[in-house]
Amino acid sequence: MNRKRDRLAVIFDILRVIRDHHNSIKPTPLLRKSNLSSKRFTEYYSELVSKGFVKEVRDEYGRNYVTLTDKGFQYLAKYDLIKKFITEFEL
Amino acid sequence: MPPFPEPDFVVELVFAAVMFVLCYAIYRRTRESYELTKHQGIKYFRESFLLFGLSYVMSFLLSLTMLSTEAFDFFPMRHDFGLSSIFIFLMSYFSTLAIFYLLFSSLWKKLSDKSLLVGHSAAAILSFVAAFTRSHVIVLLIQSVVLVIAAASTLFARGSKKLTATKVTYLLVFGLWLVNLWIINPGPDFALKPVLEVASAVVLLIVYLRVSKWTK
Repeated sequence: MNRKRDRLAVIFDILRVIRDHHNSIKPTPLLRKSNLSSKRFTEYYSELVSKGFVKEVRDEYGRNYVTLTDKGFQYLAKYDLIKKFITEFEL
Repeated sequence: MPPFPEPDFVVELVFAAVMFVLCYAIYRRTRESYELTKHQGIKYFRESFLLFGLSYVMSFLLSLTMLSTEAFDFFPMRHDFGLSSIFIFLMSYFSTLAIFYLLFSSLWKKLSDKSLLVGHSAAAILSFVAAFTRSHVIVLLIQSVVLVIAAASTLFARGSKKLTATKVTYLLVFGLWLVNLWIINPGPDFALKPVLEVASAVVLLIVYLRVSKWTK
């Protein structure tokens, strides 16, 4: 059984799901694939939007999609290094 | 007034500048990691080194006041102008906080809201005592105790009693700081001082290189 994910890992997993869906996914499937409760997902999702990691876009039929911003891609690219930095310096 | 600066002054200036630049480089190097994650451990880690760099600048200014009192009697930066007290206060405050912040960087999950306040208050009180007595030796004694407590807390609080390379590096960084504090004004015959200064710079350079490895 997986250990409880820390905050950085949860954020990474949410962003990875979006990226793996061609950088475009509806909020409901994102909630389902993130393995979080609805309450916790809403907290993380709000944080990601407010910090500019993801943004919501609306297509021509009025449907909402979530996509990564440059900052979101940057987080995914740097995640492994940052985790190793945290481990190396016991932070 | 001599036509050229004293050699001691130039060496101290270069040493302080190198130490500050290395500390600031560590601070800058970790900016992106912190801004992306807002990780509290990274925050305390980088701020610790910024404070540590400022301590070296204050240490240089204190050294300058001592040197100027000995070498240039008319120089405005004299002990009796109270400047040395200000520099001792700031040096003590920044360096004590740097030790606390490095401790916080490892123990941030266990910190309460009051911990930060306690850290700042303790650093301020210790620094007032040091400034009041105008003695860097007081700072040395107090910080030696703080360092021992911090080292013991870091060693035991995370459950692992293993002495890792990181813990050894931390101890070296602050151990050498204390040694530099001890020899802040040892007189011209103290031959070991340049060796200790080079050792301090090398240890900090190692920290910078290790940080750089994970923050490309």
